[in-house]
Amino acid sequence: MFDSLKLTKIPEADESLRPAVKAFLAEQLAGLSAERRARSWMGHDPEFSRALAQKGWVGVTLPRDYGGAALGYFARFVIVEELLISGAPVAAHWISERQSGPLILHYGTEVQRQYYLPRICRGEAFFCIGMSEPDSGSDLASVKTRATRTDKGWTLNGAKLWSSYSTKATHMIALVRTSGAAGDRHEGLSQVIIDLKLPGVTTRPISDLSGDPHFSEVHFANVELGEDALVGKEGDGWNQVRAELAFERSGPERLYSSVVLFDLWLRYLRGAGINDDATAALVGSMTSRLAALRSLSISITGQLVRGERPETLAALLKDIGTEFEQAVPALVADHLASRPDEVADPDLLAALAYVAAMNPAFSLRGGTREILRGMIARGLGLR
Amino acid sequence: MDDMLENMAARLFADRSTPALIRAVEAGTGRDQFTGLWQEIVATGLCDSLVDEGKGGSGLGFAEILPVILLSGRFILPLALAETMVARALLADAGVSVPDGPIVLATAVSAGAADRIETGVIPLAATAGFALIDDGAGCDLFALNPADLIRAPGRGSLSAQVSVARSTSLARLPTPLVSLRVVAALLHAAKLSGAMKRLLAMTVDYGNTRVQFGRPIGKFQAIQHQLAVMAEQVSAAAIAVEAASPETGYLPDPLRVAVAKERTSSAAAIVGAIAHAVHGAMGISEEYDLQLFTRRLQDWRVADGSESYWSGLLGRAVLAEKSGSVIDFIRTRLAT
Ligand SMILES: Cc1cc2nc3c(=O)[nH]c(=O)nc-3n(C[C@H](O)[C@H](O)[C@H](O)COP(=O)(O)OP(=O)(O)OC[C@H]3O[C@@H](n4cnc5c(N)ncnc54)[C@H](O)[C@@H]3O)c2cc1C
Repeated sequence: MFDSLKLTKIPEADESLRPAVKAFLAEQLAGLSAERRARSWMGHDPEFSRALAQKGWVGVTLPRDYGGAALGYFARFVIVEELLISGAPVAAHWISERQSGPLILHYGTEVQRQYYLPRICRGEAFFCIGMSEPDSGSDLASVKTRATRTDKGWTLNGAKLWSSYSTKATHMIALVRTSGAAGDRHEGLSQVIIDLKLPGVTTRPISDLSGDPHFSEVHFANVELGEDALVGKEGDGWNQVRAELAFERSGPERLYSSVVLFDLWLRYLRGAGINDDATAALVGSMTSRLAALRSLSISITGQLVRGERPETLAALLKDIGTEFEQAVPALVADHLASRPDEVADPDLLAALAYVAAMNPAFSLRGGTREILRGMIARGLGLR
Repeated sequence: MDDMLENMAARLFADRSTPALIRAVEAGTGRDQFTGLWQEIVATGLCDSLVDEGKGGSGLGFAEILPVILLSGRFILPLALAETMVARALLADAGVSVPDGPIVLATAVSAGAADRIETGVIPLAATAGFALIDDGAGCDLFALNPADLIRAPGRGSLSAQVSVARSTSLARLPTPLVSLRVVAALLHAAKLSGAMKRLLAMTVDYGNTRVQFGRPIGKFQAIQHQLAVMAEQVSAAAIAVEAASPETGYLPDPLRVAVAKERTSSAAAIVGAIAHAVHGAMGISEEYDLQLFTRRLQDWRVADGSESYWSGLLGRAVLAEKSGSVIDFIRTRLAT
């Protein structure tokens, strides 16, 4: 496991994208409040996503023939890092860019690629993920939503739950059963693309604890899907989902969900001249943790670039990364309240309120802590 | 460095830096054995790896010999090889002839009489022949006699404080560009990293072999999750050490060392605790090798500043910036 973990540099060519991205974001986000920025990749703004797409920074890893920028994972790392530091509202295109686009490129037919990928890159097609269901969370292989063969394609019945921003998305890629029964586990699962405007699809928003209606419940009642709704091979859905999750787990977003809060806190400490020993030690230990995690993330990005599938390391990084993300609001809250006679800056307090409330989600979404630790244990040879 | 050097060091340490030797050295009965081992190490030329080629060394950069330092941690080598490599490079650069024997790196503490130099607790001072001591204005080389050492408490400790008369200095070197504390902290961070990887492997092995309730304890989810946490800590610590290792030369950047020492020292507390938890009573017994490693982990964790010391240093640098994201700081000041 450690042999593959090599210190890796972001190549100069990719690093050189950074100033332009920084400048663009500074201009685009000038009026965005701290509280909105604190939402990190849960902030939703289709206008912003389209502006980013116009710069060519949506679908950066996709080939030019499909409207992409044909850049590598390191370039994507640089762009995503800047988006996250600045608290850009990326949720509208986030899933398409990170998961759905690469998935369609890899497993889709030529027709599917030609149709979906340019729309993703232009910020017109926004995808959401349909994995979880009312009775299937961590035990994803138990999904019951079913696509049944017809002469013209498939009929879909069932329900998906917790799909982020599906009320505002145009499409969903869902993991569904195409053969066998729930007891068959990993066999008989497939991934299908669903146009969310089709008859029989109903989407109900669900507010999260911060009040954002970001979650939703999606019901499918005899939804007629065409033959070309299937992505990849019928029955191969489980393998495809695993590969998809390896991408999802290794990016900087698994370290940076609280970075806007961290930076607002730093700005406050610097401005107020708070630099006693205890504060310095706290700032230093948090910086040190984050520095090591960033090196890990870049190292894993290097493995993706080399075409490896670092599943165990991606799970490892996500688990330790989310632990850090979750520690930030707790440490910042404690630090601020250790000085009960000082009132911190309102922007900082607003960001803290959001992240402190939302942070339990960081180790749930994309696979819970317990599931990830099981995967790491498997990688260590214990199961 | 070519793999040959690494393979050679791995073979030598595996054959000779054995638990039996370490026990003998700790008991004070292994002096002949460790002098023999030192001569074998000297014969490999490893000690002069960092010395310029023009001055008779191999002229390697720190990052190239990092694998050897990691191995010295992996095999808890009871001799200050890593420290000697740096000391010899410093001495050679200053044109001072190199003495024969392990050299530890130390920092003078301010207390004490004006005519004496005293240090904090230095790992492996008990088996060293010399100490290079940084007093902030320069470094002095001293020969170490048993009377100069205040041995650290704790059974089997090879650490000691040094107290020597200034007048016995063998040579005075100008202040290095980076203090010896920074250099020595990186060496201890690297040894911690090597030792922690070994502890992870030992503990996974034990989890797969010890049977309770009819199955290997490694099949229990509670044990698996502890080992997963251990792997996370070891991974983050390992990459921090790599990031702090200079590619050329041997003088590291103090802020990157701060990350390396903070990460490894913090991890050491967690890794040691989990290793023991999984090993049960077996790990507490003298006969079983685990304790040789976990006791050394304690020494190296606090050597040249614990995680809190280095956090403070790093945090002050972050706060001193007028503006900018913490990521900009990490990217421009702490990353390669
Ligand atoms: C903010 C957010 C956004 C999300 N977005 C999406 C989305 O867009 N699309 C989507 O499909 N889903 C989404 N999810 C759902 C997410 O994937 C699930 O929350 C996750 O898979 C866990 O399922 P669950 O919530 O049903 O918890 P459960 O599986 O019921 O787990 C509850 C607890 O039991 C533990 N547990 C379960 N099984 C085991 C086991 N075998 N061993 C030990 N412990 C176990 C879990 O670790 C957890 O602690 C989102 C979730 C959040 C919080």
